Parts: sequence; structure tokens; C-alpha cells
Amino acid sequence: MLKLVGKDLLAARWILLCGAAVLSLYSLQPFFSAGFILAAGGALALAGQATVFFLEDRNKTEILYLSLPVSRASIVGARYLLGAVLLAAGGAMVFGIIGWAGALMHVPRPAGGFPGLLSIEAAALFFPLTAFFLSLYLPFYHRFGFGRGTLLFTAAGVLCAALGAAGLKAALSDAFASGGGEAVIFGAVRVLRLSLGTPLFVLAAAAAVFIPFLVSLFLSTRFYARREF
Amino acid sequence: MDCALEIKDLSKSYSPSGRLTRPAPDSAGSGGGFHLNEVSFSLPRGYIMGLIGPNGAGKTTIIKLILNLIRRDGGEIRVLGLDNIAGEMEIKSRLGFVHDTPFFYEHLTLADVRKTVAPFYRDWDDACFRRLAEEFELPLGKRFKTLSRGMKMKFALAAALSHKAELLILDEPTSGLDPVFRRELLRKLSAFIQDEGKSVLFSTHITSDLERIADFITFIRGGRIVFSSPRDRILGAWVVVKGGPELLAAENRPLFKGIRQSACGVHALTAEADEARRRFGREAIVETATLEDIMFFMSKGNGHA
Repeated sequence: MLKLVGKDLLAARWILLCGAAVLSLYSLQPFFSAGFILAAGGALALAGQATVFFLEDRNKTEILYLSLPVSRASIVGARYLLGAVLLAAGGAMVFGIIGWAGALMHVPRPAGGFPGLLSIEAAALFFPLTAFFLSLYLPFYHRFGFGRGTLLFTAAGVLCAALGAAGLKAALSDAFASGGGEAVIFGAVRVLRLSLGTPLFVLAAAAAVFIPFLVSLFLSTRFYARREF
Repeated sequence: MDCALEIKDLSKSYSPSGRLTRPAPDSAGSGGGFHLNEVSFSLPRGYIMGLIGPNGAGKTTIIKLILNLIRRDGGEIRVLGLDNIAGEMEIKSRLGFVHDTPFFYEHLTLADVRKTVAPFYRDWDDACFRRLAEEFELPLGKRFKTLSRGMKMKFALAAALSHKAELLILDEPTSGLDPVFRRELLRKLSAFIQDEGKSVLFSTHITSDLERIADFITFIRGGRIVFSSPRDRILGAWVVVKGGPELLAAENRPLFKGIRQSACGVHALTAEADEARRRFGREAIVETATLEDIMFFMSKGNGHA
């Protein structure tokens, strides 16, 4: 699986590095809120995965790798490993480069009730949400291929985001009336953290990352085993 | 007999909406679908087999089934003595494959493309790859997309030959290539099987290539095997009879596998060379059929005009 991830990173390295560099430099501007940067980091991880799939689709290398001594399960597993790598890279960029460098350079951020990038709440939002969307994308990709899979994922992703936002708005209508969306979401996460206690909260956040990933991996493996090329 | 490839009663059907195969009108399609019907043939170790047939006959489907890129509906495929599904990893590590269009990352240099393939083979021989790259004059620093089709094929062949493959499968490797490169490729394949444990399955519709190097010919049409025999036996048995309309007499028709009639006369194909010479030796010209003749005469329906 590592070899497959290695060839993906080799093939897409310049595009991924350019994306990361542009986002890092851009996000150091003071007018972006922490919430925007979290979303941009997550989008970068997703776009990175889609870029790898795009290159694979454009060059039809999937057929090449299915002709090599590589099992279909390994190919699927490698895509999840790549997703995890991109998630970690997105996290490293958001919390490491942008968060840390921003703090060091005293880049002012619009606060809006947000405690800042370098917080457990920010991490607890970034990793599970990004992992959720990656987990949503991959079964579509393995079932329908790049073109249709990406299109259907986009539709499903927008639907999930809209439903999530509507649900939050309904549940926290009073809070939304008194403050901005970013602050309300953050406030809710903070309340959750305080009520669970930090260790249990971190554990719950980790479960929110891994459970969708594992369910998604199971589905993708089944879908891919049935695909014909 | 020790076989590199054994296929028994292989079947595969696509529905009319199947996205993978678009059979030609004269191919295996019936009602818009595609059916590979109980295909059986075997390739002994140390030989080259040509897999021929018109477009849409099922050649690529057979190769995809061998590689487990698509699932068979029935039958059995044994590659290097192993079932192609149960022993998939072992088989693929001992198999070299060249697609009709080489599928590599086009924006990478050849040196980088090598890095995306070599680690997957346990027996990758980098010295062999470099030697072949030099022999084929492959510019390793150039991007794959800048190469000509011939050079791309050379790279694919170099990659397929650099991991001590025991069976080489080539799907239409010579289509669209100039005669110089085609000769070079055929020479390379002949050299490859000098080691008697190695074999080649070569799918093509450029039959002249096979007349040069193939030991066995398998002809598939409409998803069915027409014949699978040693080349010399085929070329010895099949003849084209060229004569006048009297060839079309009712008693002669069962002898012919295909008939073409034109203003110049009647040309008919038969697999019974001795009988054709006995019957028509004096009144018609009886010529040894080429593989192209056989494909041409048999490519339409039941072959009769």
C-alpha cells in the first residue's frame, strides 16, 4: 500500500505542493477568520485526493496498476491511506504552518467568539469533518469512477452540509439569533468539551474520525471488488 | 504438456448497455449485447501465440479476463499452472503486459514513470531495464507525453521485459506503428522466447506480423474460437481457390468457408487444401491462404457470400 501511496504522491507532488503553498501564503493574510482557514484546509485535503484521482483517470493508470501484482483491496486501502496522509497534511498546514506562523507573526484574526486555530475545539472540528467528507467521497469514487463519482459526491456533500447547517440552526436557534454562525458552532463544541471533559471529548473526536473512515473503507472495498475495467 | 496459458470453456456476457465492450456489427453481439462463448485454447511454454480476429471479436475481452480486470461468467483460466483468480498476485508478478495504449502518467519523465512501476515487482531488474532503455534509445529525462507512439510502446515493452516475466501478453502492440518498429518488436519477441520457459500471447489484427513469428494462431470471431492450431498446420490446410462462377456449383459450396464474388471471378476459402487441389487443380488457381485471407473471408456472418 505504501508503494501505491508513494506513486500517487510522486505523480501529484507538484500540484499538491503548489496548492499547499498558495493556501498557506494566502491564509496568512489577517482578514481570514479561523473558521475559513479550517474549511480551506479541509478543502485542500479533499482537492488533493480528487487531484490524484483526476490524474489516475486522465492517464488511465488504474488499468496499469490492476495489471501489476497488486490486489484490488490494496488499491482501495492505499487510497484510504492517502486520504489519511492528506488529512494529516491538511492538519499540519492549518495548525502548524498557518496557526503557528500566524501566532508567531501576530497575524490578527477576526475573532467572532472563536478561540483561534490553535485550540482543541478547532482540531475537533477540522479532523472529523474533513474525514467525514473524505469518507463520503471514496465510496462514490469506487462505485462510479472519477467523473460520476465526483459529481455524485459533490451533490451528496452539499446536501449533507445543508442538512447539517439546518440541524444546527434548529437546535441552536437562540444562540444563532445572538451571534454569528462560526461563534455558535464553536460555542457548541466548547460546551460539548466542557460537559464530556477533555479526555473523553478527544476520544469522541477520534472516534468521529475513524468510524466513518472504517465504514467507508468497508463499502469501497465491496464496490471495487465488483468493478469491471 | 506444460502450458503457459490454458483457457477452458471461458464465457462472458455483457448486456446491451454494457459500457466495456462495443462489439462491431459483425462481432459477438447478438441483440446489442456481447457474448464470449465457451472459448478454449492453450499456449504451451516456450511458444508465441497470435490471437487474431476482427475488431470486436473478443480478443481484448479474453485478455481482460486473463488479467482479472473483468469477471468471467464461466470456465477456467490457468496461467503458468495457477488459477488466474486464486493465484492472481503470483501470476501478475510473473507476467508482462503491454496494452494497446500504454497507460502511464503522461506528465512524468520516463525515469519517474519507472519509479511508479518498478517497486511493484519483486524481480525487477534495473540493470536489464537500463540496458533495454539504451537499446531502444529511450530518453529517460523526457516526459512520457512528448514521446511518439512507437517510443511509448518501446518503454512499455522495456518495463514488461524488466522483471523476468515468464509470459508476455501484448494487446495490439503494433497497431499504428511503422514497419521499422514492428520488425524491431518482433525481433525482440523472438529473442524473448529463446529462453524456452518464456511464452508470448500476441493479440493483433496485423496478421503479417504473426506470419513472421507466431508458432500458434488462435482465430476468434463473434466471441467464438474458429480455430486454434500451429501456424504451419493452418497455412498448410487453408487455401484460396480463384476461378470462374462454376466454382459456385452446389456440390462445391459445402467445401468453402467463405466466398467472395466480383467482376474478376470467384474467390473462395477452404480449410481442405488437398481436396481443393484435387477438385479444382486444373480449372482454377489454388493458392495458400494468408492469415489475412482467412480473416477477410470469415469476417462476415457465416463466411458465404
